[in-house]
Amino acid sequence: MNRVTFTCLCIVLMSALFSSDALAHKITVFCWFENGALHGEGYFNSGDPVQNSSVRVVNLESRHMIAETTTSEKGTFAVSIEDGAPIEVILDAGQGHRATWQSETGKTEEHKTIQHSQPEKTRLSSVITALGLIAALFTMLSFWKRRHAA
Amino acid sequence: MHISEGVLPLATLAAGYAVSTGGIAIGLQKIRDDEMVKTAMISCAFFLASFIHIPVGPAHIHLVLNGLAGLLCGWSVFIAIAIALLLQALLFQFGGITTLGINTLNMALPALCCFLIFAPLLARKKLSPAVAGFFCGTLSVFLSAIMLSLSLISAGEAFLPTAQLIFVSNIPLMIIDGLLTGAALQFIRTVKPEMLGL
Repeated sequence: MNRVTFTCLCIVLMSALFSSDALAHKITVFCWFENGALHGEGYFNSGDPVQNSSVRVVNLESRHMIAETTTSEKGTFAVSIEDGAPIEVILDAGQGHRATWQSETGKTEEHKTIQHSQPEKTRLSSVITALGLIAALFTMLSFWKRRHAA
Repeated sequence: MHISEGVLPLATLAAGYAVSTGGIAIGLQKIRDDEMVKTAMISCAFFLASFIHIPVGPAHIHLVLNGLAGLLCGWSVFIAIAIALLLQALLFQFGGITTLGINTLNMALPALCCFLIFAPLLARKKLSPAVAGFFCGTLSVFLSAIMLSLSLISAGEAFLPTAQLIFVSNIPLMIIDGLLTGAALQFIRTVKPEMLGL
């Protein structure tokens, strides 16, 4: 193994060691109805709260915004909305970090949580897949360049 | 530093794709066969670096390392970053397909600028690798944050506070990226100075 390959491999392996932090990268939002208000909380996979981030409640059918707020320091929020309307709650922490929660009936007991965070195994396999794809793409590029140079 | 789908106007998205495509085309022309492995590794490192998140106050910021990528890849940094961002969008929903062009531009153009500024300085030994790496890493994130903010402002003045917030929240990242790039260049200087044209 020559020194260039070894150096590059070191960079990738060191990055891979830290990529377990990727598991804490995605956010999840969970909501429930209580005393006529919609309560919720957002958190990273690491368990850290999603603080000071935008929360929008939209009508699931018309897509019109019903309410808007931001999460607290603890990642929680509460908005007063009419009970019974089909809604979608969108938590946007910026820079592509987004999670949603839907309720077709607007009632806690019948809601369905949309889990946007991928399971850890899936995420790890996605990272490995991505690295394999990068290697494959550059191999193809190498063949293409050689063919054009010939 | 990924811009999500549905935020930017069509003109900004189209401009992002147009300039990025141009950069990728030049990169494809310039890349040599013996640079493929290095560029692929840099693409992998850039892909993984985005997963390393650092809590800064209430927010989280992510390593970028586009300065290091630019310094090591030159024009082919457009290829390395575009592929990494494409896979992040497809596999992890970071950013998006419509914003791939502008996200690539925001990351790769500052990286290329850093390459054009710092590669000659390193080759002439006017700066030590650690110092050049620090300024390279800092400047690349600074320029990327400015371009990201300008991209958001193009969507309307309503995004001005968000753009300002993103720029300010990336200031610590400029320092961290600079330190890491400096350390990486010093390491490369020790084990394989040819990679830096030394």
